[in-house]
Amino acid sequence: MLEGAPASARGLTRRNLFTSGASAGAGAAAGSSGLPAPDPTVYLVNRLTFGQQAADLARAARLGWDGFIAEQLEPEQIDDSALDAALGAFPTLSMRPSRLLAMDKKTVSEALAQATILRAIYSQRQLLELMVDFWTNHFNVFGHEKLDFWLKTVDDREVIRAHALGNFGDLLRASAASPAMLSYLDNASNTKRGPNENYAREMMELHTLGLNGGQTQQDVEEVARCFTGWTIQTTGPERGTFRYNPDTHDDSAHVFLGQGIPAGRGMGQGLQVLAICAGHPATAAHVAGKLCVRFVSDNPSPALVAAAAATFSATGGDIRQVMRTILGSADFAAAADLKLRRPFEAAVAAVRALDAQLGDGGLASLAGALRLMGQLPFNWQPPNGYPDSNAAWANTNGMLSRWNLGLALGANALAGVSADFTVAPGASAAQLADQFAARLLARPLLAADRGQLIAWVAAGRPPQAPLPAAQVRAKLPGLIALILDSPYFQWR
Amino acid sequence: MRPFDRRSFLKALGALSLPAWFPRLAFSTAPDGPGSAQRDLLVCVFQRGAADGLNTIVPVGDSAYYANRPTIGIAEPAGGGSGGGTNPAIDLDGFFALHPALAPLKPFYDGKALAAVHATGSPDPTHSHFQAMDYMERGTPGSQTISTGWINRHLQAAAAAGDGNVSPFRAVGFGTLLQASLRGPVPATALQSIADFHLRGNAGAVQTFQASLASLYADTTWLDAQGVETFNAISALAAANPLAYLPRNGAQYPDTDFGLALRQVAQLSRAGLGLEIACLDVGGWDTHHAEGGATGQLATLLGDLAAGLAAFATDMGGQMQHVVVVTMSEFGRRVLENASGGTDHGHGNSMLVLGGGVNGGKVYGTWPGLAPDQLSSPGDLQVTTDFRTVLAEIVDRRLLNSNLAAVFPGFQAPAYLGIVQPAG
Repeated sequence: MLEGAPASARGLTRRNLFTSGASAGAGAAAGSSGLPAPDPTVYLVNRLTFGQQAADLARAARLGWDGFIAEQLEPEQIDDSALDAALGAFPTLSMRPSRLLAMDKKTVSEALAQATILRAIYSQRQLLELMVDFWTNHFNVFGHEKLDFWLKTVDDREVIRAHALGNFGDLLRASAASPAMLSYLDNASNTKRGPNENYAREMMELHTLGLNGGQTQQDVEEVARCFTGWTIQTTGPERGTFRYNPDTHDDSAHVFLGQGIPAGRGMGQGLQVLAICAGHPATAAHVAGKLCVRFVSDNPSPALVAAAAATFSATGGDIRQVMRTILGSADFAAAADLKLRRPFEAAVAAVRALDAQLGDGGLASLAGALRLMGQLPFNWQPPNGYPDSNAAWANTNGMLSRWNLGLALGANALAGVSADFTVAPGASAAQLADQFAARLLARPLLAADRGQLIAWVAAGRPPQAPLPAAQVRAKLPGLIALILDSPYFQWR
Repeated sequence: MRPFDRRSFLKALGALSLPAWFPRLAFSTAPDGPGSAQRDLLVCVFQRGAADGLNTIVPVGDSAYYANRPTIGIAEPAGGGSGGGTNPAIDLDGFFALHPALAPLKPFYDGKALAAVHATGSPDPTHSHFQAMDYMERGTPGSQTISTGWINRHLQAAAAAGDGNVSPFRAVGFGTLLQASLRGPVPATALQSIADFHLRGNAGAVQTFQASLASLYADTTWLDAQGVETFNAISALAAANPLAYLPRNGAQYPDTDFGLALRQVAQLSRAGLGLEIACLDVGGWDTHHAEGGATGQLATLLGDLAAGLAAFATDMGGQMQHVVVVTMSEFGRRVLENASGGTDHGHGNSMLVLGGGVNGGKVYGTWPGLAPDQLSSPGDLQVTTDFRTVLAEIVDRRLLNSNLAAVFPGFQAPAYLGIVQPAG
């Protein structure tokens, strides 16, 4: 048992899993996986990473429940030099906008997607990567149109990654002035001659206040005017960077949510709007609620959301503190099998669990698989980001595409992705099933399910009988796929 | 207000090439005896992002249109007052005209198989994409208490009325995520590619594998149910073997996601899998910036839409007698263009209805006008026809489901517009 685990985690059994699911308001759609609960260490690691690996489990066991959370919330203290070295293969990640814009757009956008997959698999700062994924979707920018083939790379570096566990107000301001966002939501062409409402509306509805934050159409128009003149430098060495153009800014007085925005403040008008939004209680509730949905369940308890929102407000939007509240809660500890892995999480978790090696073209193969599964990074066109609910992703196409990924990985058939499936000679079907279930799932199986895995490998031979090498070779790919494709693997 | 449910113009049909299946000529529509009516296949196309209905079915007869759209307005058809511009709109009835990129649909309009509805949309005034899409797909504007989609409720009601169709392909949503209109207790299949809809691997081994995998999804939880639906769909599709498919009548689908999806609708429909509902999405309509006029961003989107629908109708041929296609979008766009050469979120919009049972060749609805005092806040085309009025008529007359209280709870449909004939 994991030292320091909250009572609710320590007490997890299949039986009270049902109870906890119901009390978390998970509803009829999900929440009762019917599976034996994972060990708390395994659960914690699966929830704070892109999927367990033996090394993570050992470290979490050593650090304890609170210690592992604390470690992952301080990513700057975690050595990630091996990943940094591997990222050297993607020089575009550190380029300034004008240099990026001189490059082929496909090269730039593919590098960012592949680097994102690489980081998710190999970073030691796993929770940071989860937060980056969260904010990438919260401040969604479609990376396959207009200037954003190039500029999303800058947004990823200077907005999302720079503030993923920082202060929400800083993150919001960085996003508002990010050329990628200015292009995506058209604020780059928002001028006093005829305001463009796109950014103003989505910033309030999606980024801050939420749908019911009290803003009206009049507020949308006023906010749009406050952001007139926030645009992108189009020429010279600073091409592709933020530019405030006072000539196109409507510097008259405005009113937003009943508060006066004085005339003559120039760019300060937009900054005042952002400050009002960042500090608004509706924003605290909206952002806290989304974080709870990401890390706990599709229907988090109002008490947990309120607690997280209270932390958000009390700390002035300190994201790390909000995460401490959520991850320290009893609800979080009792949320096993309440969230499905989305395609990106399922694919990355499989590669991590298999400890697969990526060779030439491996990241491209994974990106191709993710495109088919519907979750290639930066490829969601509307501004609301990839959905994060079980119901959105569990459909026939989604099930089939993840099953096929499992089949491909089990057969080592994905170009450039290879796992070592060497087994001891003379192993029995039962030994092989147990060995790979432990490696890939690290959680107990129902006896009937274990029996199915053994039966697949044994193919009529006695479960405990040593198997001929040819049979092991024939049956191992399917065993790996059955485990990766099983219900057990689909839960975060 | 100027009613426009009458056509002031009739084009001479002779000048246009009619589709091979031109319904009124090729098929008798004499009603059969009781019980023999056949329910239409419904193809529901959702234009995600709020399509600009004012530049789709263009009100060239409303002078305020041109005043509001100095750079992105579509020129009047030749012969109109200020007409004769390059690449003009295509006249429909003297007041409305088609965007020129919709030219492939004009023969269907002339052949009475295509109708449009204008100034239609949701009674709820939201300008949020996501809320408006939710409301439209649930069919419950203004209400967040019902989580099922309107199409799923139609399927439930039809099942309750003794419909025996339990095929996994009864309702299909194209794409990686299932459309919200299809969500609910009746299973619906999400599908990207018919050709790829199977477990990959060596055929014999995959069959054994599928059996073993199915045994891991044999419990009764929610996730098990998702698995079972998927196995059912895989098996049904394999049994029908619809792979060898060639479009008929010279139909040429555009090489786009939309074209591919429509081609697969035809394919599934022909495969005898009991397809009743197909939902398709087309994205990219949120044209705040550089929308373009007769050419440009919107024109490209409309061109894809028209080419796809024309190919589908051509391919389906005589079967279009039992198909109804309806297009919708969460709301329309602001009447006045913005300084970015685009349009912001609006309200009223246009819809298209295509099929053999359509009373086509007509633009339906009540035109509220585009003068300042005729607009809804903050400068939008009013909604004079609830989108549910259009859908209810289709559900009732073409899908043969009169339980509209179940499909659109709380909605009292006014008199139908008469867009479709009762299914014969």
